[in-house]
Amino acid sequence: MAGSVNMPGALALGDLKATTSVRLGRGGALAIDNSGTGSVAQITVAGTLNVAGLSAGTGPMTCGALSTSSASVGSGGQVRCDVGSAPAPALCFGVDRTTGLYRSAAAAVSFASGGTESLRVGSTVSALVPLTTNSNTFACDALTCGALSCASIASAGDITQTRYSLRLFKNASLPVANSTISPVTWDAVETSGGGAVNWPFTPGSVFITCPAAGRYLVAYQIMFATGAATIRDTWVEINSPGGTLGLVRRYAERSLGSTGTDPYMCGGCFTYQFSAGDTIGVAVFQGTGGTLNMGSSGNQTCEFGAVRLSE
Amino acid sequence: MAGSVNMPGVLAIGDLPTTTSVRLGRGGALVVDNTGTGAAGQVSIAGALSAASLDFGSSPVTCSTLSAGSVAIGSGGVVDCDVGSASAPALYFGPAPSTGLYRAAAVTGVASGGVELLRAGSTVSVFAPLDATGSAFSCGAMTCGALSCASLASAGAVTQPRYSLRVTKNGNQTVTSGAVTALIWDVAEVVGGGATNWPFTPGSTLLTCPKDGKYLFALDVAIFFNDLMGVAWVEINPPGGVPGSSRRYGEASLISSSGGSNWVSGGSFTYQLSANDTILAAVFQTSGSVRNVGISGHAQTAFSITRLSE
Repeated sequence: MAGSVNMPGALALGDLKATTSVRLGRGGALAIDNSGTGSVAQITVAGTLNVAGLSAGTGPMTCGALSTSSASVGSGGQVRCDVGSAPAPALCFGVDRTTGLYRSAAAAVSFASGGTESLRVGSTVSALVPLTTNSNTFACDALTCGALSCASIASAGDITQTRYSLRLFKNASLPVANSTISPVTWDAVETSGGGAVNWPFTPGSVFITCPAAGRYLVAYQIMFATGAATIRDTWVEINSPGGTLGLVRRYAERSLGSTGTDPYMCGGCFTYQFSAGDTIGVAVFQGTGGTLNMGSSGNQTCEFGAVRLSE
Repeated sequence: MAGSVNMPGVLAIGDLPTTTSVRLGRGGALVVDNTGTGAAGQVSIAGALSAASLDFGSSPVTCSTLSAGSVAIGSGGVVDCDVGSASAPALYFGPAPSTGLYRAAAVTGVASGGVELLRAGSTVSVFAPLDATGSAFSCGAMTCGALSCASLASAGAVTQPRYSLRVTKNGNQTVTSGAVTALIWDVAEVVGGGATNWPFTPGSTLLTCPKDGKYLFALDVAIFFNDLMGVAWVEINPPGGVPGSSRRYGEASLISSSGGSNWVSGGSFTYQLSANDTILAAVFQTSGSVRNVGISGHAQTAFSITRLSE
């Protein structure tokens, strides 16, 4: 047929029951002209549409699954994925459909691994699994953590932790019988210089109870009033049986003689690995032949200090 | 032409070497109907297909390269990228094909400049310095190498390798009058601490510092009996391991006037030791007779050294 065919009706090729085709020569075009009236013209293909290039210009393209060897989005364009979830991330790689990225919350994108959220990036960055820098450095401002285990710590400022310490003194005299091992009662917490830190104390106590296990430095000082130039003996005991002093190992003992003309001042210190609940008592002994006061006089007094040095 | 054209064969428009066209008016449609027999009908276009919009319904689309102004994936849809690699991430941005995301060993990796930076899997691994400067960092248990900080506050214990030694005598040692005598330490006193990271050989006089640091020393000496002038002290690195010719620390000295009782005394001090420094405790008495130093009843000769800090 020469020339053009122009018809208002349908162009039916064959009886539609057999294979037919419409061929356009090189340079030919199939134009869907919507300049007329009626519904918008369209091409409907029940089978496969094979084209060398496909362009929708600035218009939309809608399809089911899209498979391509590469995809690029123009300048300013965005790829908008569905929300997805940890078990079914909206963006995934290869055959693994449970590993990828998804929107986990408002303004938050998460990485999923094996169907489980591992890293969330939002107003905060949250690692929901162990985070390792593989020997790389890590810098931050404030660090809050649970247990910290590291090779070394270098701090430009204080290293603070829960501390335990106690400072006691006597603010009154206590008579000590001759040749009798006597307990020292501690009258008050000495606030100046430290007082009691995480260490309960009842004024008037003989035995002091360790509040937390650890290595402690224990230091004491005893003042006897002036008396005969005979023995003065002072020491510390740990866990005295039945609360009776004089039955167990003595620590930082000082058994010395007095000049007989001045108050006797002496004391000692030692370190000890205590358990919580251990009791500490200070004992004194004197051999003047009569009762001798110990305690406090002028600027001199008896004192006791215990400081936890370490765990 | 009025009506329809119905033909059993091919509709060839023009002579093919020339430009021809088929136009369908508004409301018109080109339908390839596959309800018949034979191979499925299709439309093949050697050139480009241009349209105001394209709708493939739920049918798949396959192409070599896709270029679009934007891409939106419908509800429940998935963007399934290739695996990719650090050097060629499957998903990248702009003109940097070596910076983006890919699948690394069954987890998602982030690459920059062709190098893996972050891997989010059963652990989140960072392969470059991690910088949260200006932000707080919160975590559970943390393990790291050297930690350097402005200050450190711990709600619990701060533990580190500790170094301490508590030694004592479990018998008496004779001390000749007028002779400086090194104290022999018989055992580590387990009760109250013992030896912590401090090797000790029973029967030693010299104790060797295992680690640099500031140490607290406390010495108690029990010597028997009265009527003597006694002295006890500590020396650091005594020449030849022999006491009496170097600086004395924590020295306690007095003339006993206790009237028949033992003399027990001692001293304490702090000292910045170096590893392998040697420490020795010595006694001296001028009673004119041999005296014993050691243990009597609850009075005991003991020596403790505790590392306080670096």
